[in-house]
Amino acid sequence: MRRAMGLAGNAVVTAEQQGGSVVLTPAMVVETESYADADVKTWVRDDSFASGERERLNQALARRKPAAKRAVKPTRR
Amino acid sequence: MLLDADVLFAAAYNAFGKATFLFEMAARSRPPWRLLSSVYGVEEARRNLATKSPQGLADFARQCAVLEIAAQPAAVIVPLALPVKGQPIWSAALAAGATRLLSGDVEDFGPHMNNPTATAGLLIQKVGDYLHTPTPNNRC
Repeated sequence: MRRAMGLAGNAVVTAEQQGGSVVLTPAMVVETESYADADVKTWVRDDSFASGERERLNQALARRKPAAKRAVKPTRR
Repeated sequence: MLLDADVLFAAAYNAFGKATFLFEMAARSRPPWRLLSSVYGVEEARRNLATKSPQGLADFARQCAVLEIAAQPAAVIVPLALPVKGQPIWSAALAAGATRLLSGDVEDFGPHMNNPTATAGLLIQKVGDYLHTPTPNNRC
């Protein structure tokens, strides 16, 4: 079962209680990044619309078809 | 398309920007695209908002209601030369079958942007580049 789930010797899992069972789910531990002020400034600059850009996008999108509804592979919250 | 944490952060930080625009359009009755992120991406954005811009947390919660949350695989499906902190979002995008990964993180993803033949068919772009890319079939 460990092989099938891709779990090596010291693999990390999360454990959840579901009714009378304990469900183990493969997990990974990764450091959460703290954003530098300089990065935030760059993102906000890149994120800003130029004059008239938003209106042009709205017009272009009005001509688009809606997004196709596709199933997302295993989705959970 | 799957959004990196910095895009989620920008959407809540800058109410009139391109990232917010993605959410506004996705919340329409006939959205031109669908937005995904991962638990990891959402948590990274939330933590950084809490320290840098707590007033954006209310917008963030509203935006999360529009997001679909993709599962976070434990292992990388297709290796890509990325720093460790870039691996989770890359893995989640691939596993979810997203056609695009939108990120402003040029340090991690810059070398791989706009080059889907080298990124398992997944187009990695900045939000601004995406908004100006024609997408005739809208499979995002």
